[in-house]
Amino acid sequence: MKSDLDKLLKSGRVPERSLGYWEHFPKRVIRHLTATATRDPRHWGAWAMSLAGAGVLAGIFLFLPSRPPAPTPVAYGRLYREITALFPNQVQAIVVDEHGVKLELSETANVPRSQPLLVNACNPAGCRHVITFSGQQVKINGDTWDVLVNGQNEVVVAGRSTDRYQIEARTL
Amino acid sequence: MVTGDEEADWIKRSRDGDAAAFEALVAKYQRMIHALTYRMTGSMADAEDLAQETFIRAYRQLPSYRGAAKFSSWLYRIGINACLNWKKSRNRREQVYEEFTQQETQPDNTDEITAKIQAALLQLPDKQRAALILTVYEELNHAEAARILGCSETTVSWRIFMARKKLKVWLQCE
Repeated sequence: MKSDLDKLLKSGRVPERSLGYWEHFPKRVIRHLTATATRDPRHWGAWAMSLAGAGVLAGIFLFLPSRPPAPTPVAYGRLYREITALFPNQVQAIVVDEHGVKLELSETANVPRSQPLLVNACNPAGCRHVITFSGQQVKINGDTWDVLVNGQNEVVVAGRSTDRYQIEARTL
Repeated sequence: MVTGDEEADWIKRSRDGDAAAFEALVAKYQRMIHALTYRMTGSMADAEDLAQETFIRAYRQLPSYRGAAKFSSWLYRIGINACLNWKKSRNRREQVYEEFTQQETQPDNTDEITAKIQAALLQLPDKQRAALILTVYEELNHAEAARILGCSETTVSWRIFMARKKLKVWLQCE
């Protein structure tokens, strides 16, 4: 009787999913973990290098061989396009400094597409370059700035710097 | 075919933050975990969310995996706990059952008997269902199921006995 019940129970199948689903699911898990890890800069390097190894970020790393791109709007524009193509509507900010590139990603694809902005924050220790959007907050070394675009299409960065940063911002 | 050495290497590399290695582990065990979460919930969408949750928890708990148990057993434990917590937090076992039985259209390849079995499974208390799934579908022995469920072998045996008794009536297989 026990085996009859087992046989009957086992005849109940789990609905099959498409091959595409099984191919995509592991990448989705990694993407979720990567998005979480990018909030902690200590984890970024390992994850990004691993993703690059998996071929996901191959294009970006061809563009970024060993150090951040030269600070030209063209280079940052290209970086922005490459990363938003990988994470559509998830990119809140792309931070470039002497250690490489860090991404701030939303867990869900809910970041509206708008004109990308480039914020350069420099102090005697070095510069950080942040690609972001109007209405987003930029955080560097504990300082937080609000980035906004006014009616004249001028970029306004509002906040207080505790680390002697010189801020310059423009549309990308 | 993945060897034990290869899997151990993936686990070690995943601990070191190697995304490709963890992706390989997810690819290997994704069907097993999806089957578990589907049988626990009866919902394709919830099974998908819980499978993702299971792997995310597994990644975060990897430093605590010592290799004493099989990696699959360790994953089962995380998956079962994710399902039980999901049920607890949403407190909707009966609602899930009603939703399942009221679905106008079952997934295309789910036949009538499959739907009937899944509906019966969903009527079981969560812990009885978990014990039954591990022993019947995943073919674990009672000792292995007890380790995964974090209870005694006797408790597992009792839960399975009770679950079978109910299922025999509900599925009219006497």
